[in-house]
Amino acid sequence: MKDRIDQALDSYRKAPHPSLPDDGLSRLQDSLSGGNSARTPNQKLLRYATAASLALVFFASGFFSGRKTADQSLPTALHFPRSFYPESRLPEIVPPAFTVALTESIPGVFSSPDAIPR
Amino acid sequence: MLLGQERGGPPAEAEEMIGQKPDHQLAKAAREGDQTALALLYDDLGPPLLGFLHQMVQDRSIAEDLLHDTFLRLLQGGSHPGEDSGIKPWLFTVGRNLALDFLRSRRRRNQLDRQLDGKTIMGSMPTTDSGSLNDFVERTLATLPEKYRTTFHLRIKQDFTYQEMAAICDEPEGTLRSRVHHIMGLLRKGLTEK
Repeated sequence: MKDRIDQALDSYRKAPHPSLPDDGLSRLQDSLSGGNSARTPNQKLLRYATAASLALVFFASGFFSGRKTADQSLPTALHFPRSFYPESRLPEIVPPAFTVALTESIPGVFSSPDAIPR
Repeated sequence: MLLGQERGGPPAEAEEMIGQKPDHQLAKAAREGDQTALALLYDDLGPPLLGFLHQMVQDRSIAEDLLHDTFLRLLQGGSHPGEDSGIKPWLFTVGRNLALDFLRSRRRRNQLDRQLDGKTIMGSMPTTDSGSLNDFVERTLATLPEKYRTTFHLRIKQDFTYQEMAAICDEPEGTLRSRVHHIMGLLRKGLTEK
């Protein structure tokens, strides 16, 4: 029995180690030099997802802050200062056509503060 | 030149370095950008570390990613092995911690926890010609929890001393001895029934 156990352990001990991946060293060298190809698929996916989330937050916060006037704006985590957007760009953020359509669809409510029904 | 593109063995320059520089000097040279030293370290310590990581996570591609991350820690991380401790135990410690992080996150996600139900996938780990006995040991290990597999692998396959294993696993030597003893009992029992 002792021989059998010894044989089993010997067999396990002498089994070759797994071979290294073919691109393992080049991936490592790329990583050390800051290359993108060195990242694993999971790391790449995480990186893209993070970039997409940041971009979404950036545009969403820009959109909402662009709809506010300076005196209406409230300090929120997503709020950019009004000075972030030059005056000339505000009409692009809130299209005039949209404002007109909204005003005309509910006459008397949005056209003038005096027109609010009492 | 990327030495990794020549997988036929270390180049002549590296051959000259074999046996001349201890691992610490090789690691220091690799950190400073010496590609020959990096190739030498990777070819020397990569295969046993990959085998260890594969034994832990039971997945070849995950083990390769962990191997990559472990070497990155050695070459660009903030902490480096001290002069008194060898590079190999340090690499195995870092590799084990990364593998444990992975196993914990996988368990948290409640995904394939193969070790609990014994449905182990062995991946593409090569087997030897002396086949059946080695396969028998592998199959027995595959039914055991990760801690037991790791301990047995470090002791029998990697030939670490219990003192080194205690440092790597951050556990008392007695616990590690007990695990190896337990597995030896299982193997003995299995061989008797065979």
